[in-house]
Amino acid sequence: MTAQLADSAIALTDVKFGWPDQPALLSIDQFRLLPGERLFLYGASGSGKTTLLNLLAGVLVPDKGNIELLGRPFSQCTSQQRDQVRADHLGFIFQVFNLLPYLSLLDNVLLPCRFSVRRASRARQRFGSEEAAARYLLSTLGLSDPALFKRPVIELSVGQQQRVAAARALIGEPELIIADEPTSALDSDMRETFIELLDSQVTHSGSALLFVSHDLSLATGFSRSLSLAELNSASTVV
Amino acid sequence: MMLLNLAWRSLLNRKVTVLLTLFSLSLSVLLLLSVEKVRLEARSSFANTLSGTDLVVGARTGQIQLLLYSVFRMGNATNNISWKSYQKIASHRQVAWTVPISLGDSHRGRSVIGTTADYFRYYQYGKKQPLSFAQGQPFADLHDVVLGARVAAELGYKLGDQVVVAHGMGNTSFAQHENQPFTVNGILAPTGTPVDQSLHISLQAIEAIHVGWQSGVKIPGADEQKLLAEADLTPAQITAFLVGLKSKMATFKLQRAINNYRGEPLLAILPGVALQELWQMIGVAEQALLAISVMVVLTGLTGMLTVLLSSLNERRRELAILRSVGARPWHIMMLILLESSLLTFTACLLGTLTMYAVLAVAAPLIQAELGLKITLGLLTGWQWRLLGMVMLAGILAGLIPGWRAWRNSLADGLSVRL
Repeated sequence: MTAQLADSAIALTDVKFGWPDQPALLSIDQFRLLPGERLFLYGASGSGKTTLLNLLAGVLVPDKGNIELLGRPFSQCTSQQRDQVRADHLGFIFQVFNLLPYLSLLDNVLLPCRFSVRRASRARQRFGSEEAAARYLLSTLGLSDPALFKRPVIELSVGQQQRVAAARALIGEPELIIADEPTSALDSDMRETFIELLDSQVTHSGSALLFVSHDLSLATGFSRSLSLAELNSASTVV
Repeated sequence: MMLLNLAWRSLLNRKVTVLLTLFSLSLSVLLLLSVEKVRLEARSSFANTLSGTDLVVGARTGQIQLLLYSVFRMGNATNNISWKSYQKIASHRQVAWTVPISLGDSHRGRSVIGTTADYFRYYQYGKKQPLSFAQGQPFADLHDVVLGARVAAELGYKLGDQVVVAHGMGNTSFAQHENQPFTVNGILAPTGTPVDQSLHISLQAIEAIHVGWQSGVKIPGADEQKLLAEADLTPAQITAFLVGLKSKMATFKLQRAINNYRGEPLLAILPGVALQELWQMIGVAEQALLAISVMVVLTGLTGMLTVLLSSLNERRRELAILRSVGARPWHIMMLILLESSLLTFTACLLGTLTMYAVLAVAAPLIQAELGLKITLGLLTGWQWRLLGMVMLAGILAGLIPGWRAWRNSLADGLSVRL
């Protein structure tokens, strides 16, 4: 089944996860993210956020229940298959330190193309070359100054680094972007700019966006918002 | 290719520790290769000391001892052999040539050898190379001396210089044959053998300088010049002699005949066999040297392992990022393996290049100081094997941090906190 035909980007049914001999960390009866949908997931620390992200990334497997990613029975795949799905169809943006310090700005953005033939060929199809795709994404995210390209990435400001991370998540147009607190290191006016940029790019590429944050004030720009604590019946208040 | 590029950039990013690791690894490879090189050169130089000689004959003693004093001019003969016995064996029908050697005198710590002009015709070293003269010619007069190359070079003698021979060995002998100085008549070309360190005079000259001496002491008041004129200078005894045979087939037969000689207890040895036996004794030191340099390489590799392992913790973030952009766990493991391989490979390369640089600088010095000739050849098969083993050990060492990184990347997932 191809991703375009999938009726949901993410579908969780009766998913339970917990470490052996410990109370369950996560228990979600039903959760869906539609293709191209932009969802704000409110998650305070201790709400099972990290566990959920690792489950969606395929690094962890639920004890029970089903995870479907782009219509695939993700949780029943082998770990190799899950790795393949992650490389081809998922883009991640983390809170801080997203970039490899020893690669240039451009090489950082191009990393997913190195690990996924699909994303590399998609980038080439639309822009002619992977590098052209990276440059286009960077310029739409406000990073077109040639001087920036020569500087080591660790010398970029946090805001610039996060935008490079966004470009990297978007390159090759993966169907699902997962952003984990991408704005918490930014100051408030940069936060809004970043979210606007991310939003327009996601709309442009038709990707679904799962935006996880503990900052409820950011939820206003999203078409839907959910609270993980309500979703997760196993969540224990810390 | 992409992983190799990542591994390379990641190493460059950790310049200081990586350079230090590389430095110690390269040094250990340099040591390993150099020890191997010197060992080979020493062995071939050792085996090249004497060639073309079928038997070495001396008074009965150990075979190594005979070899040591007759060929290496080390130690002293316990007994001499009589001129009569020598004559008898020399005239054996299977014997092509003989070179008598009479030892016991010295000049400033270097052996003085009494011999005949046949020495310069038949003595061969290396791959059957005969001795050749750099200057001058074999001794003609009674008081002529032919110098080995390093004797002339170190003591600064040229043709026509006067040399006084001392009685016995040692640098500061009190008994000097100062009444009968010798004139330098020839200087030999360098050979890289103990010949370079010897002075050669005729057997008659050995007799001549001991005229008027008894039991190694000068008889007081004896008129040497008068006695010399009257003396019969046919030697009474010599220390040893080298034998060349007409046919190699006769070697063992003649050896047995000499060993069973009834006139006096004699020993005939096959120089090749004795050299082999002597080398095996020295070989223990050689093995020890090799063992030590192997240890040094292991230390270098352990250093690399330590650096790679301790860097893994700081690099968890880096590895998690790679995982999030689609790297599989085996990519992570390969990355670490490539790093250790790159390090080891570069170290092997640097170590080899440094060895050649060091040899190029040191070879003339070693030749001058030790008489050991070192050639800058290609790497030998064994040296390639050593390098291969270092590479293999480096890659195997990389498996440990590689496996840990692989396990970490599974356990950490994408969420490493700082």
